Formats: sequence, C-alpha cells, structure tokens
Amino acid sequence: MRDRQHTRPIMRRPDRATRALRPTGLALQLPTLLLLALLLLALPLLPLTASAQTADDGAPQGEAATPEAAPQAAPVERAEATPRATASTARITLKVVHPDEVRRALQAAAEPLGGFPVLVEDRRLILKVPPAALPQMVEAATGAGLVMEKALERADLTGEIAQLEALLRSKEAIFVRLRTLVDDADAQATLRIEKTMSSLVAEMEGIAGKLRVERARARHAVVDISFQFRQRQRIVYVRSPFEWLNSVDLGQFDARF
Amino acid sequence: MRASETLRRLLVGAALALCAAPLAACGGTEHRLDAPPAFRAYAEADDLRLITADGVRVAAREVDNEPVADLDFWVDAMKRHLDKRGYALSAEDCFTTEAGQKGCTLDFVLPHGAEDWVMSETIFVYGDRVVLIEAAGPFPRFQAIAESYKKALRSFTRED
Repeated sequence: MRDRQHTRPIMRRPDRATRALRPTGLALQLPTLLLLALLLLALPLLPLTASAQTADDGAPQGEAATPEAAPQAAPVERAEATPRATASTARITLKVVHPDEVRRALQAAAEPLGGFPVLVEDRRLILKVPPAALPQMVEAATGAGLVMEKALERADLTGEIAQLEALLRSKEAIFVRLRTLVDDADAQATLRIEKTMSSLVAEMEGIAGKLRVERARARHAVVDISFQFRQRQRIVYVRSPFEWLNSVDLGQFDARF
Repeated sequence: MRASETLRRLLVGAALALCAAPLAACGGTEHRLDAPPAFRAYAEADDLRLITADGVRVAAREVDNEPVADLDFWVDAMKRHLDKRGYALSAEDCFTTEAGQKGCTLDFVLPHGAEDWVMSETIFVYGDRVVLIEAAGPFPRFQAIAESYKKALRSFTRED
C-alpha cells in the first residue's frame, strides 16, 4: 500500500512535470515555429530576389535563370570584346592639267601602302588602302592638284558585325540541335528536319556572306578621286542684291565677248 | 559778222557735242594690259579683248560702284554670290599693279558642258566705277596660261 502510495506520487511526477513543463516547451517552440513559418513564406520570394539581382546587373529579367537566355547574353559580352570596325571613305574632287599622269602616279603611290585600284576611268580613280594608310593616301592625292572638294565619311560597322555574328551563331546552334534529332526520327520526320536544315544552311550562307562584306569594308578604306565635278554639281541661278554681280556669269561672258 | 560768228560758234559747239556724246556713252575709258605671249588682241573691239589659240578669252568692262564700296566689300560679295551659284573658288590673289592700283583676282572652277572651266574675275575699284577683267577657259587650257596672265594683270592701267 505504501508502496502503492509511494508509487503513485512517483507515477504522477512525470504528469506534474509534464504539466509544469508544457508552458515552458511551448514558449521554446513558438519562435522556432514562427521562424520556420517565416522561412516557408519567404521561400517563394527567393527566385524573385534572384531575378531582381539579375535585373540590377543589367540582364533581361527572368531570362538569366533560364538556360535559353545564356546564348543570348553571350553575344553582348562578345560584342563588347569585338574590336571597333570602321568603314572609311575619302572623296576628293581634284583638278589637274593631266589626269592620266596623276592617275598613274596615285596608283603607284597606293601600292607601297598596301593599296590597289578598284576603278580606273578617264576622270575617276577609286583606290582601296588599309585604314592606317588612309591619311597618307589622302595627302598624296590632295598634293597632286587643285583640291576642289574633300570629304571624309566614316561608318561604324561594329554593331552590325556583332549582330551578324550572333545571328550566325544562333543559326549554327539550331543546326547542330536539328542534326541530333535526325538519329531518333522516323522517315517522314527526317525529311522535314532535312528540309529545315537545308533552308537553315541557305540562311547561314547569306549571313556569312554579309559578314564577309562588312568585314572587308572595315579592312580597307576607300579613296574616291574624281578629276571632274560630278553630275550632281550644277550651276544654279541665284539673284544677288547687287545688280552688277548678276552679270558675272560664264554664259553672259560668252555672250558679251 | 556777228551773226556768222554766232553761227560758227554754234556749229563748233554742236560738233563738239556730237563727238562727246559717244565718248560719254562708251565711258571714254581705255583699259590696257600687257598681253601675255599666248594672247592676241582684237584691235577693233570697243574694250580690251584678248584670246589664245585654244580659246581662253579675256575681256574688260566697267560697272557702277553702286552702292559705293571698297575693293574688300566687292571681293567678299562676289565670293559669296558665286559660291551660292555653285562656282568653286580655287584661288584668290590680291595685288597692287605697277601703277599702284589695288586689285584682287578670284578664280572659280565650274562645270560647263562636259568640261570643267575656270572663270577668273579681277576687280579694281576706281571711285564710282568698278573695273572687271574677266577671263574664262577650260581648266587645262587655262592652267597653261595662268601664270603669265597673273603677271600681265600687274601691268593693268585705266585711262579716262
């Protein structure tokens, strides 16, 4: 009995302890639970934060995380690394007494500079020279006669070349993917894939051609020398407020003579 | 006697007036230039007229200095006007003649038919008159005489 009596309290102790401990246990578990709940709530927000960081970095939002976006981001980096490509054209109207002699002399002057003629006419000469030799060639041309007109045009081809390169790369990537599909495709699908691949090849050749042209434009500067005023340059009639100045005219000179 | 004297005076006066009229009309001014070797002068012409065998021509004329302005003003006005018209200024040469007269030559190049021509305008200002010495010819032919013509302009004189 005693034992029993003794046992009871012993048996009850854990209950008491449990009762006593319950509030304390809850107090300990609540912050943990809250923290967990907060973490669970915050989980869906994590990708958004990552996207926001990407957007801050300058890449398009939501695309950086996807594997498809990686090849698109690559050309931008490559374009930055591409050296600046410029197409330069110098146009000179030169008056000389003997155009033939001057034309020959200018052709000879272009050769040691790495230049070559692309058009040789009685009254016109077009030379291509390395961009670095352009100032020397222009100097040689302007020193050969009376310069009536001189203009220098520069076109930046860097962006265009980078775009064509990126386009070509993406087409090549599609081509490679299509080739892997052929192995597992049936006859009909293979035919369709081959048709797509052949049109892709044609597109790639076109882009490669454009790229070659643009690169060639950047490789050589053009010196366009005209020994005569071009067709567009015409005399126009403009009235002067000073009466006698209106009689200064080649046609009227002819008539008066 | 008195009547005949009056008549004689009237006739002399009329004759003088008749002689003077054309002179006044023509200005009665003579322009002279030591013609370069390649040029030949038209002896019968009213004013200075020179020409080379290949057709480069020189002519002199006068216009009113209206509004009255100096040489620099007219040089500037001519350059601006002909530039607007499409003439390309190729050279400008201001000088003093052997007679001490200041003048300026403006050479312009312009397309004319299938060729490019040079039109050279030399301006002298004499009080209320502006003297123009004009020369024109195809570019290569004009270049051949350019230097001698330039020298000849230094010998220019104007006589009333």
